[in-house]
Amino acid sequence: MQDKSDLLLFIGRFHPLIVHLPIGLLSLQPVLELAAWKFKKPGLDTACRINLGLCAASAVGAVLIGLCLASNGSYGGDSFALHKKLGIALAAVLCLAACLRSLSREERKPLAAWGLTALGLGLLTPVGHMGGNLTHGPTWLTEYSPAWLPMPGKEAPKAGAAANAWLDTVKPILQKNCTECHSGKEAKGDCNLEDPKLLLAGGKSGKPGIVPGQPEQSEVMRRILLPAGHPDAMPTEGKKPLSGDEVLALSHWITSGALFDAAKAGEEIAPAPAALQGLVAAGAYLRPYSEGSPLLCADFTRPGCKLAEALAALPSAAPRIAELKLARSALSDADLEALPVLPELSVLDLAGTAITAKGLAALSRQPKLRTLNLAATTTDDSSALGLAGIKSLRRVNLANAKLSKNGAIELRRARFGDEAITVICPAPVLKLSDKSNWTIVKVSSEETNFNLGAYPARQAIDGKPETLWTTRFAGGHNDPPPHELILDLGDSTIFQGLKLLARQDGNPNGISAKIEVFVSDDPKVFKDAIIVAEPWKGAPDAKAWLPLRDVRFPQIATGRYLRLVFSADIRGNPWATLAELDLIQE
Amino acid sequence: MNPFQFQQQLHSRRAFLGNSAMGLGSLGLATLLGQQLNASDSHGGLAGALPATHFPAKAKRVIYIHMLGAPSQHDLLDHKPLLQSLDGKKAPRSILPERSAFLNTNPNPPLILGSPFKFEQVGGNGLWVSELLPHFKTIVDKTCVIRSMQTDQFNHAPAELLLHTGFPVQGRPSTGAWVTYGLGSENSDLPSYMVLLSGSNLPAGGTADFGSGFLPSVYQGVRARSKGDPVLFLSNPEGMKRDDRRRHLDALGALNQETLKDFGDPETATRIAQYEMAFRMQASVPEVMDISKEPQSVLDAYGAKPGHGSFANNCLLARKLCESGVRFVQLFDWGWDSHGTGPGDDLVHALAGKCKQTDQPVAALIKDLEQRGLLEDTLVVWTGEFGRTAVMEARGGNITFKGRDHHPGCFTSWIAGGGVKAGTVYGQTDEWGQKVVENPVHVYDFQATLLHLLGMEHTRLTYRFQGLDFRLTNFRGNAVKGVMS
Repeated sequence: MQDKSDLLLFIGRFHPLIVHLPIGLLSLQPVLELAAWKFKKPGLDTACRINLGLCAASAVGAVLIGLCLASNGSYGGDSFALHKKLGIALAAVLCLAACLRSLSREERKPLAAWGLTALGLGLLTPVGHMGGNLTHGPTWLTEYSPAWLPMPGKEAPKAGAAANAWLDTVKPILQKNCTECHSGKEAKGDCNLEDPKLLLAGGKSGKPGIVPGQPEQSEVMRRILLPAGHPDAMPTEGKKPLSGDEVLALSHWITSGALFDAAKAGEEIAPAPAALQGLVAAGAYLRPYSEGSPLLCADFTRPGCKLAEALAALPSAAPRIAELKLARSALSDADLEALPVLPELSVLDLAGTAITAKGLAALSRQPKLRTLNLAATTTDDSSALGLAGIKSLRRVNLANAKLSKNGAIELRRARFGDEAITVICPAPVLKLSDKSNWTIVKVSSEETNFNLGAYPARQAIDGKPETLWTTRFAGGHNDPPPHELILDLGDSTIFQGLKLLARQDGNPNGISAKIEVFVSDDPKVFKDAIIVAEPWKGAPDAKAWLPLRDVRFPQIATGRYLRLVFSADIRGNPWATLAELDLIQE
Repeated sequence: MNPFQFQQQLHSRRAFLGNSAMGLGSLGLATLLGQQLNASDSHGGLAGALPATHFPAKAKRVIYIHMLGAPSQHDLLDHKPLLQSLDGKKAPRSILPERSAFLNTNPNPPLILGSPFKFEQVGGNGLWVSELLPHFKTIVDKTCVIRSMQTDQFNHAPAELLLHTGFPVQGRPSTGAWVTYGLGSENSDLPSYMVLLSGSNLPAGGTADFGSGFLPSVYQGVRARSKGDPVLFLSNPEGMKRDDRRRHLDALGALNQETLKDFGDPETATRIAQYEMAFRMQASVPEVMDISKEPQSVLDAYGAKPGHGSFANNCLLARKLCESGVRFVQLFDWGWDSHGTGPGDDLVHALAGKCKQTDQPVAALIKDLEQRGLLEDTLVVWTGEFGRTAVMEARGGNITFKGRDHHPGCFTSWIAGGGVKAGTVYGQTDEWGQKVVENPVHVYDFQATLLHLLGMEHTRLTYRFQGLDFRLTNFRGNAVKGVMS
């Protein structure tokens, strides 16, 4: 259904067409007047009158149609108001001039009419220019002006470190495609896409123009992506749609938060492209650490990456590197020593490289290094222990490195507590006897909360020094000592003592102060203790309690069942733990 | 052009032009926004559709091992002593599945089937592991075993499709396609999504198990073979030199570029990229697929034999491909459908045989990845498509061979590697191994979790097709925090 305003608008859209009629006629007027004055032919004088009359009539028509166009309120602002006022004034001037001209006598010069015509011609330029700006946008004339011609409001695009996503990429795209209509106070649909605030706010529809981070919620993107022919589609019918790259650029800019501020976005958060150019040229693979983060993950190991060049280019990109992958590359100690301080580096992958203690020592300069992958390197005990000095370090992968049996333990021990390091490494090799036929008859307390990583009693006899038995502790449920553990050795056994291995993770909890040992052939009946052992008495720290402790009995013991009773631990806490248990048999 | 076509073109343009030096690079925006702008990629590899992952990614790549046919959880990793003690007794109605594939062909009342195998408690998490998996026992502390998996489908093809594509009917992109679509490739000389098959059959879901659905077909899994030509139809025909091929492709590429300009069809861009990829693969694939140069100790650890089309070879290849930057390696191994209709598909012979073939290579793969430092950021997945019943199938009343029918109510999978909370057992089933009683993990939750470990929020990895924003997890799924470190 068409209503009145639609009809007015239909007529109104002929304004840009009709308006050229008075312009043409008015431009012709001085020529006719000049000819009439010079050749003094009556016909020419009549032509002047008719032409000016037609000119005035068409000007009035153009004004009326123009008012129709403005009737739906889609135009506004100072520039429009002035265009309207001057346009009406121009039509009035021309009407007056036409009247005077038609009343003028042939023998007298029509000076008043000439004066008004000249005034009309003078008004024509600003009115026309303003009209043009309303239709084509304020940059229409200057947009393609040659560089040597200085133009107001036109700046040279910036590049390199000074570049800013909004000013140098997004705004130019909008200026090219949108701001012809959507800028200034006369913006169509009250939608001004040049001013950041107004761009975010959107136009008459009430929907936000840009929702930072969400292109799909942004009205600007919605309209750009609508198919041509849809009433809401932008740019309007007949104008060139945005190119795919332009749409992508807008979309990326919105997704990344739609930042306008060069000072905030450009210097700190958004990268200065020049800083990364070196890495890119060297063939390094860069990807954002995660959404919304200015940091990067850099990979120097992909085919085509020139390691030396990439390392040389690292300093300028240093503040932005969060992860660095150098695994299996030709990295040398010297390279690692020359590595700049990377203030945000948290993950460093050096697996399979030829680095040694010398290079690793240089890593202490990296303030936030958290995860270090040294798998398949020649890292040995001493260089691993050196890593304990990197206070930020929380995880080291030393699988397949050259650690001795206790290297990892030493490293863990050196950093036991709040700043503990998780060390990934093969289990230390200890010579332990086969206990596959042993079983647990009874245990008074064991931690079996699987979600915590459980510590059941069978881990004390599983042959693995890295696993342990602990009494209950999860959730504050401590069982009071003494704790009892009864083992079935499978068959009646003759032995001279026990080998006890304390927990190997450096944790001092549950290192028993006293262990009573009983041996019997009946799991229900144990007579006197064969020994009351204090294997870790006087051990000042983990270093002293880590090795296997021999507990020799005063006499040879014989029996199938072994009963151990654990007191409180050496610090008076209620827990008992044991990593491994062996027999001394000679 | 309608909006869908436009969107579609957009995505593939992003994928194709994004790295081709004439795309975003010319705007200078890519670098501005921290995007990949890579000289070494200027002639190839796929860029991800996501400008950045939603979270910092714990895992960078995936090895996804699918034991086709659905391994029996009761006989491997979900120990049920109750079944063993009641073996052969008449089963209570309550433990019969609501729907089943073959149980109703048994004219007699179904019998409880206890596992014929011995179990041993191993690892810090105290998991009971079957004697069929002696090598798995050595890596149990590096894995997170999920015993509470659930699915909606009880037949192979739909269940496989649901597991891989999030929908039981063909036509959706597979997990590997979604992952490579989101993250792109790490190596422009190799496909970012490769598929290795072993066992006698293709997946029941067909190639749709590793298809790209409505995503541009450049995200489709590329099938490689460990025997014969690694990738079929890749070699030049006899008499054609590599230079000739190059000139041939240049001319073809120019024509295709014209077509792309005229019609904007994303499949044209895909085709151009595929030709170029194939050209580079002619050099790169034979090298990476050749396991004969691996040291004998490595071959022995996996039990791999160069020239064979075995699962062991595929495991070793999976490690090599990952090392070379392939984003998603999919292994399918057929033969786990233990119905018990004969010695070829029963528990005692067939299941034991499958375990013998696969247990050692899987354990070797985990250890090898760890030794090379790759397990830090590689995600390994081991799963079937559903579970099996607590009762004996006894098809047609025949109880000579022990076997179990399909059961979607619960099954066991495990994951290991980047971001996985190693040494945990997640979820629990009831004492019959019939339904989940604690922490259920539906296939959709599983998918959401995998994407999460790779840095992606599953609700935000979407693709608009026919007016809808599709995603892998359909409209369900929650990432399971309990399995992530």
